[in-house]
Amino acid sequence: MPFDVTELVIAIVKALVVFVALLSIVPVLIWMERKVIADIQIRIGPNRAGPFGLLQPLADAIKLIFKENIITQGADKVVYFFAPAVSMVPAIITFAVVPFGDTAHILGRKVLLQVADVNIGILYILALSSLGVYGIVLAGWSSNNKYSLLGGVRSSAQMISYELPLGLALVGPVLLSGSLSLREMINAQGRAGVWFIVPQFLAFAVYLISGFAETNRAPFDLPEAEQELTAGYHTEYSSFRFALFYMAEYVNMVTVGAVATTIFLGGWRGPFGNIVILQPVWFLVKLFAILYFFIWVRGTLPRLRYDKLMKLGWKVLLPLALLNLMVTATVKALAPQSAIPIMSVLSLVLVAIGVIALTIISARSTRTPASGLREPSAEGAFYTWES
Amino acid sequence: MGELIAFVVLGAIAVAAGIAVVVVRNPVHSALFLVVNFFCLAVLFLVLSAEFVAALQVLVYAGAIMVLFLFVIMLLNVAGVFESQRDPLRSQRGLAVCLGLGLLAEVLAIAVSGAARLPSGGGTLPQDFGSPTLVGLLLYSQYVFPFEAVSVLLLIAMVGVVVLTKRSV
Amino acid sequence: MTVTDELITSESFDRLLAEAKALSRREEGREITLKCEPAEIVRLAGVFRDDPELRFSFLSDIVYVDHYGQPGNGARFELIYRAYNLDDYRRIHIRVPVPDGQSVDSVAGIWPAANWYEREAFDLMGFRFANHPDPRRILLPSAFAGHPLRKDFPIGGEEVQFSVNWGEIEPQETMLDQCFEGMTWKEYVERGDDIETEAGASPLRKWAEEDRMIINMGPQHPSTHGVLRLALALEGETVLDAACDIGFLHTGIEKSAEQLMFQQALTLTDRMDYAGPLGDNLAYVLSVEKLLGIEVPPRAQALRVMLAELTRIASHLLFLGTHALELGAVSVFLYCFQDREQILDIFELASGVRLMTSYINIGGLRDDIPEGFSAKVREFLEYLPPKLVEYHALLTRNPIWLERTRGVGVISVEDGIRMGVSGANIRGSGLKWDVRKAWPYSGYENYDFEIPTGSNGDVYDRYLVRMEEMRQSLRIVRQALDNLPGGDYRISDYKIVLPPRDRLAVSMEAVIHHFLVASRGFDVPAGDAYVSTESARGEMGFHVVSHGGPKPWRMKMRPPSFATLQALPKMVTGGMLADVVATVGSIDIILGEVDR
Repeated sequence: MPFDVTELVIAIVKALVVFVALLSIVPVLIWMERKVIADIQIRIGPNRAGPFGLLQPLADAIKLIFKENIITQGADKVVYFFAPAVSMVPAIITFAVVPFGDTAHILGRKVLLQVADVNIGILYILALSSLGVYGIVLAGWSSNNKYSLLGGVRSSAQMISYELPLGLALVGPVLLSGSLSLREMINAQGRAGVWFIVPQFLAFAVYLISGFAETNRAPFDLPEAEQELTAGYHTEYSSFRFALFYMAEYVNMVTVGAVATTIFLGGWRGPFGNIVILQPVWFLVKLFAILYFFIWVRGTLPRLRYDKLMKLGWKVLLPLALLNLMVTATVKALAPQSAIPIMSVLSLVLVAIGVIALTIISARSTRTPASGLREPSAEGAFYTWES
Repeated sequence: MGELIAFVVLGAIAVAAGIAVVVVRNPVHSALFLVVNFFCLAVLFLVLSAEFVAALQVLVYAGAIMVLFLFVIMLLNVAGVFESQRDPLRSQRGLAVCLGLGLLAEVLAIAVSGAARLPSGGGTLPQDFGSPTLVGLLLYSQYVFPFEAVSVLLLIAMVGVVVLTKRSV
Repeated sequence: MTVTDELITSESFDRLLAEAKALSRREEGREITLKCEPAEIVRLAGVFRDDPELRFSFLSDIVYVDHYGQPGNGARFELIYRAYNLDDYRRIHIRVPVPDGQSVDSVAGIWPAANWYEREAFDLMGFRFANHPDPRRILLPSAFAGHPLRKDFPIGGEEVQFSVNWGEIEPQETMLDQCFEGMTWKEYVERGDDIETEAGASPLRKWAEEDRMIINMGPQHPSTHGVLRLALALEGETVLDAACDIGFLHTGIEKSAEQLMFQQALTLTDRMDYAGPLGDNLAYVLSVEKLLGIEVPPRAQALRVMLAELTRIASHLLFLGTHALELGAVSVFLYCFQDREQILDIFELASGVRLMTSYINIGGLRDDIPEGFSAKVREFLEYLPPKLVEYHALLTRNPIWLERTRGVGVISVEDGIRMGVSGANIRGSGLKWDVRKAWPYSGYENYDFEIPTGSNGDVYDRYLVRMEEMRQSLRIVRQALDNLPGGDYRISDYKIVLPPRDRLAVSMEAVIHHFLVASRGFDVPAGDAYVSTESARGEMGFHVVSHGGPKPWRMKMRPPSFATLQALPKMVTGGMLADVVATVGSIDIILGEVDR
């Protein structure tokens, strides 16, 4: 292969652009999370630093960097030192294979709007996301703190358990598109004329729930459950190393959201999608919609207990992912050409059944008390207020 | 030329990490050196254009198995136990050296004899060499029996684990 | 009502017991007092707990008094065991005179709740209890010298031992002989933290020896509601055993009260249960008024009820918010605080203070309610109900909430009674016992409300009970507001309450009264009184002892959180680490009240 200096320069520039973009999404995301959560909780949220408190993440970062860097007594210094980096690096380099647009023509050259189009894109993402756990586990272990250790143990069990449904959920879209390359999958969605969220709704749901667990977000934020483990694996971290953990969590969130966008929501596709400049915009819009969902859930749901979390992963999500895989594979084998329409119909039926079942359950549960609580008042219903 | 440099550097790191796995006293550090070793192997696979195998190497070995190793080490807190005690399996040392040397001889023999049969000058690779499609086709056609045999073996191991742990409760 | 002044001894035991039984069958025997000598207390307690006619299964408290230098009492010390029969709400006070230096047999084998009560009596007044299962200090640090609630304990001026003058001062007495056998004071101090850790977790020592992970939750932990330290023995995430270590917030309120006049001591009660200060104000004031033999005007009664119920709502909102926060539902926390603000606004409107109001005074209220108060309360009555519906919608049916709370932190009615658990916590287990109904005070008998009870005794039922109690409290507030009587807001005996401000300019008598009440207080007749109330956390009361004079001789409070906390290890053992957080939140303890 002839060595092309221009290609190298373009690759470096793309990597830099993505890197910088990713790191600038994080403060925006932090600001957005704080504002949205504040809104949910009827608060104002940050409003002092800059207009609408936009500079708050920056202020936080400056504050964190200037704080003392504490190393606990008896900590394994080398591991303690590297753990934040280990958690940050996979989070960032995962983004290399995510396409944020089609092909642009710059200076007469075709430039893929993607750092690297790898033909095993999904495997690459799974491989790297499985490495993110090292940072957490090692941080928990090296801190010489029992709460940290418990956080580390929790996260390693949790991430291994949820990687399986996460990976299996992605196999459905892979089967439908016939490729492991993310770019190819977006093209497949374009050809099919429908985003994979429709034929693969079950997979999307499983992926998103597992994504919550993979990124340690509420309601699966057990490794850092403040009320139980003070702060979990990063209890002892301070200053910039803490900031690294903090950022890694958000970068992971962005990555999970970006993968969901690419595989299930058609990536950069959208109205007027042939205009190259609009493609990253569509990508960002979908990405932030998913991120908003992440934040919304955090503001609403209580936290699961550790054993229930495991139960959910192994007994609910994994079978669901396997079921989805089996059905998709069967359909694909029997009718290779019309697999996507058939799966779409099946999905819609599934969603309809789910909605009906939920309606019935919620209607029933408002009639009878959930506990054996004796009726406290003559009027009975303890959950409504009669004026 | 580039490949040679990559091979030498990665090989050196891999060997060093491998030695460190055995030599280091702290079990967590041992496990981490093993991860480094796996990474070097994965990159070597990449250099050999076997991207699929490289990804699996990271995904399965570094991402899952070694995390479980760490999990067990941390949960049992064996670090303190190992550091405070002397080697509990002292008598096996001689045997281990013999077996290790035997294995080394075997690998060398294969390498030497295999080198003779390699095509000289390096051929060109087929377009889809090492692609998931090709690996899949091979696995499910030519190597389907070993593949299924391994899966049954793993299943037996899993059932065995469940049976053993349930009994002890 | 006293059966007889005669002391129950081994000879008179059977005869006096028969008398007591006969009396307890009659209506006026709902509350009886016995005197018993120390040697017979275990036998007597056993009879009173087990006899099918008596069944005094609930030990409310053990009051310990030092009558140092007071004539007329045979023995220097006195223990008062207060036990309840919760089937038909009868009460018994067993008074045990204890001469200096004599040890008393522990009743922890009869009433397990006595474990902590006796430890407290030992810690603060130096009682020795024979056969006590866990003879350690409880509120004070193990190295504390002496027993501060003794009247002869020096209260100022004595030199404190610091590292600079370590050798020069000899500590008077230490408890090391009991806690750490064979260890000298010096050794104890040198080992410092280690030994404290071992001592706090001493029931856990066997687990530590088995190499289980011992984890300290608190005293600096976000979910222990203050400075509670919970030592947990863990197997993975399963709790094998737990031990509470308390006293980090001990400020000697009971000792301080003895140095203050009755009306000044009132301000201390605000500081105990800082989530529901008006409830504690009321409990204290009722006991003093009982000693004084005064009856407050109906308007004051109604306002007291209203304020106490608003306090209960505020406290339950705090409970709900923090409980939800601890289970990860952060938003509910802020919603509840917003609602609680409305109540604090009402308090501020009435008293000028948001938290430490001291608004309920001896003889009535400090001031009449201001203009606009009723409107504000009515506004709140309309404001809260939809919010409660919202919280039910957010939590009550939420599958995650159900998973986290149902079947978690279970305690049965029997265990709860044995451990002294009261209030919403025991009602969650299914016991329909509410002091407001059992022994009405402040006119609670005139209000129409229900007592919600659970059946499983788990976190979920305790949560539901409190949710419903808020609704019932709203009902009471509405009734009090609708039927608010006119008239005076306090008694008009200006020997007890300050004369009105405008009288000072025209009446010399008023000036004299004002001067006397403010500067030397008012004399309270000798005797002791206890009125139990239903605070937001359970049975709350003050046992006030007076030997005449303007200052309380002894003020022993019955903090419900203290007894409830004693049952915590039982609730969390066998659960998971995350359940500990859920359970601690669900029993709604306030450490200011536990440690006081």
